[in-house]
Amino acid sequence: MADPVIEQIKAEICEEFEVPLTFFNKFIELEDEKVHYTRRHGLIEDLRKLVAQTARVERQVEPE
Amino acid sequence: MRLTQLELNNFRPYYGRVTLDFPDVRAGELFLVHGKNGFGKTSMFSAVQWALYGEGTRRELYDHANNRAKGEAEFEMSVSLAFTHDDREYRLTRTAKANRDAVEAPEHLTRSSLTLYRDGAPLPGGEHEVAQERIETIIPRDASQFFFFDGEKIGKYSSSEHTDDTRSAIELVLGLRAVQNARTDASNLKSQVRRTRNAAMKKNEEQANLISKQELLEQEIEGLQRAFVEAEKALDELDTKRQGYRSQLEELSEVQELARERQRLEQDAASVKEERDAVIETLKKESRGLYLRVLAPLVIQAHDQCAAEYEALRERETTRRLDEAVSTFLEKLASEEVCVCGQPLGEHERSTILSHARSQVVEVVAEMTSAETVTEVASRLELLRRARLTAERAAQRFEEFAVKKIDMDEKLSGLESRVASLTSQMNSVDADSVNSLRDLLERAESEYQLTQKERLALDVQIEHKKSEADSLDKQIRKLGGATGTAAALEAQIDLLEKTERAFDAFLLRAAKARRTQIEEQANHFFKQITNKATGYDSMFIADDFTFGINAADGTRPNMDQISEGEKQVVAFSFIMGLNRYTRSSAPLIIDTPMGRLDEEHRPNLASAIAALEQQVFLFVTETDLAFGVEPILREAVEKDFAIVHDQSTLSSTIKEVSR
Repeated sequence: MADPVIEQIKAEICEEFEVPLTFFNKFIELEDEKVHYTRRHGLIEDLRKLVAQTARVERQVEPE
Repeated sequence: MRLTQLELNNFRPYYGRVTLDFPDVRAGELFLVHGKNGFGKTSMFSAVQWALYGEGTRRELYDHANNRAKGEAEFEMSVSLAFTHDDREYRLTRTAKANRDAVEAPEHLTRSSLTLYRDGAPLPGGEHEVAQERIETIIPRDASQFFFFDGEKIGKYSSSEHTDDTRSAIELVLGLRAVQNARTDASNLKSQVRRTRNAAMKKNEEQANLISKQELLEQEIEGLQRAFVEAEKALDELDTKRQGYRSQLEELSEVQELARERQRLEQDAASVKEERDAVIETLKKESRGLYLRVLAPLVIQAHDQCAAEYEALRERETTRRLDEAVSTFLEKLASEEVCVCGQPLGEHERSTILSHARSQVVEVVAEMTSAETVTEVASRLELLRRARLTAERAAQRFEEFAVKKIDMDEKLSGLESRVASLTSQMNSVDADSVNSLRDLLERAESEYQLTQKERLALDVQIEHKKSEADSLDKQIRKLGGATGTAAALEAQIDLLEKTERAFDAFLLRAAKARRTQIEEQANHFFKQITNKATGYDSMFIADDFTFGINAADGTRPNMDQISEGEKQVVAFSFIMGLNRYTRSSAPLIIDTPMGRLDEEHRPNLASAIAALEQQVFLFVTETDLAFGVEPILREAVEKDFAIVHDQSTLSSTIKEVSR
């Protein structure tokens, strides 16, 4: 269950550092499930896909 | 996670299968398992840990196996745990088998294997590794030290030497480890993306120089990171090594404690033996009067006959005296020639009276016994009375000493069997092996400290090089030229840079927020347990994760100098505080919870444990229940199990008891 204190800190930090909250949470979630990667060795690849996708979305909405 | 059943099979002193059921009655259930030292409390504690995480070495596995079962043709050791987690039912079973008839050495046992069932069916892809991964997700191995612990050994968290352990525990239990890993991976990913970007960039000479400098830096960083990973690996290995030495030393200390107990028992046995020898001597002396015991019935019979004879003589004498009195009276009547009524007697009456008086005299003479005879019978009777008394006393004393000897034989046999039991629990331990282990531990410790310093230095170097690379990156980007793919990659680098900083800030603020919350909870427990309710104001967890106590007079006692009992109280309070915020929920399993606590701390701790709203298992000795602890726990205890130990087979089993 999400902890309101921690969730509040996450929200503040994401706003402060201009990082999308969903991306921040997904990044930690993937790390958290690292144990499931021990036999697949795909964590960095999944993270890279996540970063590429988020950056693409961010660039599209960014004003030129 | 909530335990519903524990089953041990041929594990340590538990020969065959032993099952303990834990009914789900209410939220804060408490279970007691009590037994004397060496009966198998810690073994049960180890069984839970082995079931969850397996063995470190084959030697450890071999030591877990029951000695009696090791000699049997078909050997299997297993521990099975049934538990509920997130509304699902699990059963895990860890098993090791013998690969030959008798298990005489560690290599005769197969490494343990694990099976995990969820809701009655094997876990999908449920082979050993997957099952182990799932267990680690439910309750991480490193976090388990805050759920399963020895009350006597938790004091270490209060010591200033263990701030790393404390920090690491908080990060791990609160799930901050994942954020740390995320920070590292974001940084590594940034370097990767940067390399791809550099390859895709349109390069002018200046930019090409900067890129090649940056590439060199990246290579250096990679080299340093490899060295860092190596150092981490070496640290893990050294940590395992020093933990191994520590636990071996602890085991040796336990064995030494057993040796001391054996010495005490041997002294007791010697004094009982001495006492028994004295009893045997007395019995020998008493046995000289044993003929009296044989003669007693005859003496009693003779005494009774003599008493009857004496009684008959006395009756006869009484009759004789009566007859004599009657004869005297009649003769007096005849000589006075007057009847008792006052009328003169006629010749006929006189002659009748005289005739009666004479026949009475004849009877008196006939009944007369000589005074010598009476005296002789009386003295014979007195003699027989004394003989009877002596015979009876001799028999009684002999019985008394014979019973005393039987008691002492039993006591001695109990002591000797306990000594034998202790002897079998002890390996051959001598001071040399203790000293050599201490040397090894010392070497491993210093090697660990050295590697830790190296790792820290590498970390600093990596960060320094990374910031250099970042600064070069800014210059590269300033020169422009990134189009298409390179521009897209730059956006990724931007995102990763911001994310890195966000992770750093999050780690700091989350740990601080959590530290405050843990401190609040820990302080709540501390106030419940401390025996210095007025002397101590509160406990605190500092920014650097050291613990401390705020005294009422405003001072802060040196934590390395407070008593071991107080350290235990502070550490217990910290663990309870940590437990409240942990992401993994698990039962608390505490071995010897009262450890070094005094008679005031004990009932306080018992009340705090009894009020916990989680499943708790306490492995206790009767001493742990003393000082008013038992009545407090009794109110909250759901089930009470006693470990019954058979000294002849050195095996233990479990019996449910009602208190």
